[in-house]
Amino acid sequence: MPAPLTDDAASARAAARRRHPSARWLVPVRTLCARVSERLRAGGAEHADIAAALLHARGVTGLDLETFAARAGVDVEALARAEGGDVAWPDLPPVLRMLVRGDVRGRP
Amino acid sequence: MAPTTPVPTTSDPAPGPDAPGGPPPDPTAVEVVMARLAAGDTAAVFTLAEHHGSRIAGVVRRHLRHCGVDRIAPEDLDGLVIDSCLALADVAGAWRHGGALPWWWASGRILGVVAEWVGVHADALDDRFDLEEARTAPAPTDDEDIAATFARLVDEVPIVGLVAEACRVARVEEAALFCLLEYRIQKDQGDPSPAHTLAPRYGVTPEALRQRVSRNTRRLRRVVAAEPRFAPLADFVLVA
Repeated sequence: MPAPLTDDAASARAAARRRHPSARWLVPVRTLCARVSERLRAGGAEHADIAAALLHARGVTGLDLETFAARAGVDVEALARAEGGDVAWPDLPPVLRMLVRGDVRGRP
Repeated sequence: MAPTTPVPTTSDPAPGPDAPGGPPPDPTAVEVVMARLAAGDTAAVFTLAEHHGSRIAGVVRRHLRHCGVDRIAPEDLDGLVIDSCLALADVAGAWRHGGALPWWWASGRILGVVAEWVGVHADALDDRFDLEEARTAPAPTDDEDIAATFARLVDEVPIVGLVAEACRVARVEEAALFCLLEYRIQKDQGDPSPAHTLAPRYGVTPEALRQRVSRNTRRLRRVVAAEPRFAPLADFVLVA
């Protein structure tokens, strides 16, 4: 049985844990999407939840609208309308539906 | 089998249209994210949270400690960090690259987010505590700090003595001068809206505080411009 840590050693270990990458703040995706969705809805977006999910899918890549649309193979205008909350789920291009589904699967 | 559409990632960013041939800018770099937020790209809020959220969380935790909150539920911290990211998005247009990082530049605004949460979740007030009196009177400790510091500097630093004399001639009261000083200090520390930060302390609305600052600054400027003995104050921060 290892000897108990001294106060100094315990304090140093706690400080090291705080610095460890595992202590970084993890984005609560659903909460953030919900907040953004609220703002979009307040701004008049009809499909705010879909818009927030799409904005998240693009946001985590850091890419701008045009680059993301080109990479995903969708029309820029179509993506802009969807991110603006103007497109219902059945009318989303298939690749955007795939992105939105993949975005929320398994994340907190 | 139909070819699959590649999902864009940050590991293979495409060069921008203006790229001179050098490496493309990191799309998650803070200046790039802030520029996109300033341009109204809501997706950049997620970029900010994903790639810089830990540092924003650090500022939030620091402000919580200053407010006397040593422990916070993870979900409450999450909410505060998210609100701070949204607050940064709202003021991104005013941030300039090369200065303080956004979460320090807008530290006052993040403090406002934290203070509002602390105010809602603080313990119930003592029934004997006079809320009206607390709202109208500035915190005495703060007044004494600024008053004591100013009084000391008037004797030690000639230009501060000149400021005190100019205020006397311009009929700028001591309380108004301290308000001016605090406003300037807040602004220099990166607070994008010092009026909102200081208004509760002075028991006035942010607009009233701005008018007070503006009115007294104008009085000082008139006196400084009219009397040659105050010429050294022409470029002083309170009147410039």
